[in-house]
Formats: sequence, C-alpha cells, structure tokens
Amino acid sequence: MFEFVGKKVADAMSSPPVSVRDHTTLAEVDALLDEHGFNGCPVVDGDGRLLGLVTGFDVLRAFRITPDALVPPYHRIMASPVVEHMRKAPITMTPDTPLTRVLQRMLDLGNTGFPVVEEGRLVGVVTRRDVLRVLRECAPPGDGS
Amino acid sequence: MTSRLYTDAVFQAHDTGYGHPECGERLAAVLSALEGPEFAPLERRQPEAAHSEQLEAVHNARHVARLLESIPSRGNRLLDADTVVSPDSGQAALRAAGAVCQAVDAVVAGEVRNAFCAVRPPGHHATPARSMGFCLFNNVAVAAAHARSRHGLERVVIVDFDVHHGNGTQDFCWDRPNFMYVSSHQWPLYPGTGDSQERGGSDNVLNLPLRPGAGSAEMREAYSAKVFPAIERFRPELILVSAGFDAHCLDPLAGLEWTDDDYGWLGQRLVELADRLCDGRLVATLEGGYHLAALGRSVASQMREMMKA
Repeated sequence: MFEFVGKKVADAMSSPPVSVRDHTTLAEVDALLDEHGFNGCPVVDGDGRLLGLVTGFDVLRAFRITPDALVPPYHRIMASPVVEHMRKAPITMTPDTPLTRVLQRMLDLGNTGFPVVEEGRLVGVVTRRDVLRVLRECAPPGDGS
Repeated sequence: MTSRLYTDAVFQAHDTGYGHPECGERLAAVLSALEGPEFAPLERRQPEAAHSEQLEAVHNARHVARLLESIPSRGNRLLDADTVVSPDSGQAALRAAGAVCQAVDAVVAGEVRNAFCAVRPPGHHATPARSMGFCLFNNVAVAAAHARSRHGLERVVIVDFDVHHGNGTQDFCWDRPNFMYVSSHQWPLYPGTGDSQERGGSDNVLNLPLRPGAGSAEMREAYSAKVFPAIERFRPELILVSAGFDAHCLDPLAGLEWTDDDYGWLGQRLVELADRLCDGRLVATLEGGYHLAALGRSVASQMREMMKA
C-alpha cells in the first residue's frame, strides 16, 4: 500500500470536469446532477475561474420555508441562477495535494468531493469514488497486506 | 563561522522498494534544494561509518549484529510492515549514525558553528532493541551518547519536530538525566507514544502532542511557551535536532498544517537558543518528510537560518 502514499489528486481527478456557469438555472443544475448521478458540481465564470460549488443539498435548501411566501414557488426558484444558491469559497484541492490528505479531509468534513484548482482555474474534480478507485489500484494483488 | 552539511551517495542507495514514501528521491530533493549560490558557503563532507562501540552505547550488541546480518545481498527484505532493507542499507545506516557523531565532533571542536546531516535511513523510531518505522539505528541518540562519552558533555538536549513521536529516542533518554528529549508531534498518530504525561525518569522528557489540523499558530505558541523555556532551564551544552519535515501541510503521511516558513522560524529560534546557551553548537539530522518539493523547501528554510549563525 506504499504506492497510495505517493498518489496525488492529479492521479485520481476527473479532468476536464463537468461544471456549470454562474447564470445556469437551478433547474438545469438539478437535471445535470440527476443525469450524472453527481452529488455536486463546480460553478465557474466565463474564464473558467472557480466561483463556488453547488450540491443537491443547496438545491433543496432553496426550498426552505421563509417569510417570503407561504409555499415556496417551485418554478420561480428553479428559474433563478445557481450563483444565488451555490456555496462560495468552497474548500479546494490542487493537483499536487496528496490523496491521503484528500481522504482525511473527506472524513473530517463529510464532503463527497472537492473541486481541483490551479491558479484559480478549475482543472478537475476529485470524489470519494476516485479515492476508492486509486486505493483499489494500489492494493497488492491477492490478499497480501 | 561556517555551517557544514554531511551527506553521502549511499543514503540514496538505501532502497526501500517501489512506491515506498521513505525513498532515495527524498535525499535528492533535499540536495537539489541546497544547490545554488546562496548555499555555496556550506561545507560539504562525506561521513564515515559509526563504530560498533558508538552504536552499542544505544543499541544492544545482539540487535546491532542481527540487523546487519539481516541485510539481503540482493532485493528487498521487510523488517516490519513499514521498514525495508536492501543491499546498501547496512552501509547507509552505519554512515547515517556516523554522520551525526562526526557532526558533533566538528561542532564541539569549534571547526564549524553548526551542521546538518542529510541522511537516510531516519532514526528516531529505532529503539535500543528494535528497528521500526523506517528507522534502523537511532542516529540522534547514538550522537547524543557519543557527545557524552567522547567529549564529556553533561547536558545534551534533543529537539524532535518530526510529526511522529520519536519513541526510540525517548526510550534512550528516559533513565539518563544527562539527556533531555523534547518532541512536538501529531497525536494520535504512529507510533502511539508521546502523551504529555510521559515525562521521563527525571522530568527530562517533554512531549507536546498537537491535534490533527494544528497549524503555524499552535506550533509557534507551543514552542514559545513550553519548548524554548524548558531548553533554557536545562542549560544544554549541545542542541541536537531530529529534523523531520512531515508536519508540513502537504505531507501525505500526517495531518498537521505547517508551512515552509515555519521551518525557517524554528531554525531561527533554535539557532538563537544555541547561541545564547552553548556557543551556537547545534547539529540537526534529517528524520521524516515525504512530500518531495515541500521537504526540499523546508530544509532550505532551516539551512538558511543555520548559515546566518
């Protein structure tokens, strides 16, 4: 298992990642998450700079009951841009971050994935599945330790 | 006065096998970070192997013999789940311990102000009777014992800022009041020792466990409030440093969040302390540090401060 210790985010991330623009509607985000089975998705500006992260939880949160309406208006909320609902300044990784650090952060924070950023630009996404895949690939054959 | 660097090609030849984090590339990263004009004044020396009497002041003779016999003539051999030896490992281990002893000789004789030993394998987990945790002989403990037996020093402090607790060094110092062992480390973490209640036979052990995620501020506070005052009270005649660089925020084997600059800060403070307490006598030896780029930069940060002395 020594090999895993040397693995970096660059060895595991999806790149280029699926992302959405700041003006993408919540309805489009919802459809995208559904289509890919993603928990979340990075939000970028026109230059590919990371602005935030939107997850299914954030979409759900848009329907929180507030003093604004007796019942949350579905179509109006789903037509609003993701930039109003995303989480800004998400925790990010760089391609150089060791995967052991990513694994620990996932455990500490309960995150299912992190955007990967290089000089402000989104270059990938690293998820639980990616870490598990690399762990599997680094395991010695058979039942050796 | 100058600073000196002890290193040898055999330290890169100690081969731990494919993918092992404690690899020869670590030393290559350290040496390449110490190239360039700013490090030109650094004297470079090749160490000789430690003698068996030097090793046996720390390790029992049977263990030394058995370890050297276990070195394979080819391929790798696993001593425990983490610790691997190859044909050059015996020579590397002997010269690593020798390097720290010879650095002590040079510093005590006043040939140089201070010295850094860029060695592999590391040493601080090796106990008197056992090699473990990537470590074969306890280089820093062997040098501490040598400082006492060869030069008659009465008080030697070992400061260990590797992210792992130096259980082997603590074992060595525990019942020896001439030595003080001070360690900061992530806790809980390998090897599981280093609780703050472990204080040595004569209050000569100081452990500062740090929580996972602890960064610059917590480290600087712990050293300023506890480590430096304890060293001042001990009045050492020599400061030895187990310099592991795996508390760095990029290190893959641990979870502390120190930066390159933190190692410069530590270097500067230890050099100041050595100046004030023991004519600047300070010898640092490489322990861990597994992110190659971060390791190189962090060693350079510390070396820069040592060269200002």
